[in-house]
Amino acid sequence: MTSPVRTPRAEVDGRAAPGVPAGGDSLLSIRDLTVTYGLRSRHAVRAVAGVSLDVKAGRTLALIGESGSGKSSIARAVCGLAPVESGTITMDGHELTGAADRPAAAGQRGIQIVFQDPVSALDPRWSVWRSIAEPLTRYVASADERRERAMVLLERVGLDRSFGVRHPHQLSGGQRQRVTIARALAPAPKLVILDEAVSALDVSVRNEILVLLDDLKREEGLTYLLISHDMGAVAQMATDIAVMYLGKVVESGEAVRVIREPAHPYTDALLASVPTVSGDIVDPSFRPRGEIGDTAHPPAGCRYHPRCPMAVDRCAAEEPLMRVVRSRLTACHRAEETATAKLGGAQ
Amino acid sequence: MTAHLAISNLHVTLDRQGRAVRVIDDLSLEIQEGEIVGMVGESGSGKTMTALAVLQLLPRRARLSGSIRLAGQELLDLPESELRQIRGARVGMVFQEPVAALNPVFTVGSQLLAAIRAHQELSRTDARARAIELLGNVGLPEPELRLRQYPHQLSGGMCQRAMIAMALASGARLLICDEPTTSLDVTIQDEIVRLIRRLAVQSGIAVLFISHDLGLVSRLCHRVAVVYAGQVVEAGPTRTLLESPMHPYTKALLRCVPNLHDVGTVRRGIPGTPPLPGAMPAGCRFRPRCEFATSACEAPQDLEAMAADHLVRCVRALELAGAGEPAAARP
Repeated sequence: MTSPVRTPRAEVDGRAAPGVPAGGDSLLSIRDLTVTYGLRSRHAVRAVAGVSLDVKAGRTLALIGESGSGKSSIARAVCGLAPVESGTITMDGHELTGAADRPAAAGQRGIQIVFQDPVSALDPRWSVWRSIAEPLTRYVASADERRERAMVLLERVGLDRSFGVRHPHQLSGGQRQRVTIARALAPAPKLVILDEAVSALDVSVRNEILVLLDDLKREEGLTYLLISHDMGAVAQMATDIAVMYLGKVVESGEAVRVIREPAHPYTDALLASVPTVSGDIVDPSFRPRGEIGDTAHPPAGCRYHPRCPMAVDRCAAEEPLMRVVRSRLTACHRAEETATAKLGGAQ
Repeated sequence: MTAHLAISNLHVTLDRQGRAVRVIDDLSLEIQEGEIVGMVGESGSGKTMTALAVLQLLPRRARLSGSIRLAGQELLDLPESELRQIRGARVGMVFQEPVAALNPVFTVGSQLLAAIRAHQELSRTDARARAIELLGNVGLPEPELRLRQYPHQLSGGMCQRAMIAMALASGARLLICDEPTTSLDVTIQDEIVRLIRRLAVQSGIAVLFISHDLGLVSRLCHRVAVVYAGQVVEAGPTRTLLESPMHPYTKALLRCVPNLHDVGTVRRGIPGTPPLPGAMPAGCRFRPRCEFATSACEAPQDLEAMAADHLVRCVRALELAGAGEPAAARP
């Protein structure tokens, strides 16, 4: 059996270029995914409604949107942790939604996840090395070897070997998150899902973790699916962005395009709300009205229309389809006008 | 003009298993009426301790020295009975988790009415009218319906508006906000921030806004104090701090703020972690993490005025002023 653990690549030269060419094959492919909680109950909630996404090898796709947009449900569905009503999730050519044990299938195909809260993600009674080595129990029989590999992984995430014998309560938040990253790396994954992985950390620590994730991506040849409401982290890490609203993708494309010239009014509103020190990037007249709607009872037509400052009658009547506008996909009847509307509003 | 809140030379020492641990060291801060002052720093820098010191809600056996004056009145000398009149009535406080701060088994209305009637003698009818007015003031739609609802029926943003209404229920002129938007979405955060700004500008309320997010603070506050390990390391008008920061820590924090013009570049954070109270390094407390540290930094640093309203605690501040981006300054 081949070892699931790669040797540390620190000594390996010839790092891959950041981001594989855009034409690369999809590592993860999601088609018409619908995630419904409480499917057989009277209060079924459709958190994700027919979403299609592709994550190409070597890239970082960021899912952004407010709470309730469905971004975490997609992450959980990919890991086999959320109920899939319909649609397919294909990882590296293997369909995952039909598997008897979906979480195990996701792990076998090289998917790992890092969660937001590193405190609850680690067993407080276990030493750090034991937590890191835990995913290896089914591959590596010798405890000594598992321990040694955990120690190597610790160094890989920038911690000293002496941390191996410590317990979670003896670590800072940033150190704990490094440990959960090391654990995710243990089975040598291809795709790592970062579900708000840096959101709970202080700014200074957060950026240090981002630097680590960026290094690991290049040196281990990883692909990331980044779920975050932290637009600063998204702007730094993402090569591609998909913007979600009430269970639907409303805009997706290359990160630079989506951030610099958003085509959907919701993307615009999200970016305008980000507190930056480099001045407002978007005209304030584009701010949304009110709060995100109820996932259980989404509005007819465009789901964003009740909050959208650009909404017209058509938006309430007809659901916009995804189409190419200014070199990205967006679902908005008035996407052609957003660029000029913004210029008009700024004057 | 006297400041509405004037904290001067505040020291706070806590008792940790018999050991005295100083968590706030010589902190001074002034807030005028209608002014929003931001306090920025990492976890454990003493931001929340400062807020709790103003309300004197610190743990038992905490020792305070210095002075905290509210509208000219010294708070540190007051007996507990009088302090109770100040908390709520003259100082409102808003915390991080709005949903957790509200009692889930009582309606929003009953909690708001309790807050109103705690410090004012009003009939039920008058108190109810005041509650509706307050909820309207904080921009909560359908205030009469909200009074009948329970906290779980409101979104996080709505709960935080209700909390702000409650904090101001008795006519407090000082509002202390401790990370009030940390658990909220950016769009909702933006609305809460604009509400706080409107309260300060229109009603002349003084606001102490505590946050770890320098970007957020710079959007909202007139002046900013950057705290590190229990000390103010830099303070001044927001524009001054953004355009000509002088302390290496402020510069490093600024580097961590989201910059949407710079897509795809991962920027360094600040290596290391802040020191723990009780294990402060000698001299400059930022020295172990500072890329500009020299032997001069081993001596205790004073907070010195670089301009009329710009204070910096760094012996190398003037020398480094021309050095530009810290990352590029040293080999």
